[in-house]
Amino acid sequence: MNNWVILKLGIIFIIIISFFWLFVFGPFYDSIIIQLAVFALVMGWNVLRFSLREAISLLKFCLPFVLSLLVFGLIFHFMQLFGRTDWLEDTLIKCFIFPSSLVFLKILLTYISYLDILNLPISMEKRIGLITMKSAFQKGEKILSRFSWYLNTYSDLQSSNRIKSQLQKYACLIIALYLYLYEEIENSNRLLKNRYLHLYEVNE
Amino acid sequence: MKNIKTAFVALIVVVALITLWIRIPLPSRGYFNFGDVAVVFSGLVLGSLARKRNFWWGAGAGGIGSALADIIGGYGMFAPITLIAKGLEGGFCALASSRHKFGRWVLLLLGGAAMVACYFIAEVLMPNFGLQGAVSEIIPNLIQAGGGIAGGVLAFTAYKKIVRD
Repeated sequence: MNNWVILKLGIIFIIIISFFWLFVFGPFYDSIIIQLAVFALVMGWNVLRFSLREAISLLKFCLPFVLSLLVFGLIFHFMQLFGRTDWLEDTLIKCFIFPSSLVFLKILLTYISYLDILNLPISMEKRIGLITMKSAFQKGEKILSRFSWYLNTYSDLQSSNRIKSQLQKYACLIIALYLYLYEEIENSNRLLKNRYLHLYEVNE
Repeated sequence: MKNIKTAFVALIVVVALITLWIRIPLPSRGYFNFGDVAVVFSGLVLGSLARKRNFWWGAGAGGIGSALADIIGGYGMFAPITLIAKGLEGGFCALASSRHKFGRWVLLLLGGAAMVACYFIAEVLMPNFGLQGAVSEIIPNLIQAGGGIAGGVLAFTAYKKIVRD
């Protein structure tokens, strides 16, 4: 099992490094046609792997950055910054390569599961640490919306200054979440270590 | 609340969850997230707990928590830069924890400045961002750093009162 996991993770990392070497840092960076083709392929893969809605929301996330890239690219082009005259062409390449590299890495990382990480050849103590962290994530995620709702009802945190009241609310949320998770992690750690010691004694 | 290893794991989760959950959209790329508030808070808390290597505890919680949020949120491309940038911010905040007044504020501002500078340098070096992308990110990152320091110090001051009582 361990060998398969190492092989799988190795292949994923080789694919990621190859992509970045070929299209971001390497020989195909300058070709706008290849970048356009890569962008179309990666977006198609994204739709197949997730959904059309997911692909659209990701493009919406990238759009403001792509627009600001274009604005600064145009400014640099007209200024001929550092004596360069290819700012516009370079900006257009970046407008395609930024979303495609973002989506490509996102898709590949989804092939790595939590179980793969647990099956890596690591010590039992680290494994317990990882399990505790995952359980803390799940508990924290559930409790966060409840804490947030509760804080919205708290009159002391309502102020005419919206930024101030938001900062106060989220500061309280961070403290509440930290105090809650600290106790939960201590308990989970104690239980897991007891269980591990008990099983170890039974097997002995 | 004295076990630094438990606090470290708890704060990694706090930083990741707060970064993922609370986002306010910005006109430039992405959003202002309260993750920076959590990074500053975790640095200050771990700095007050650690007897030695304050910097590395703060850097670990801030960097790993924020990089995890990038990976879980689907923005894994930013994870390596985030690990270093937020790590530096958290590390400086942990160092600030043991200082008072002027020294503390200088270290907190250094942390924020290190985060902004780190993103800028890394983005200039990455061809898919370039100078155009890096320049457009400066102002959002400065807002993020300033908000993070204000909120983080507020949270830490309140936390110290709770722990003391």
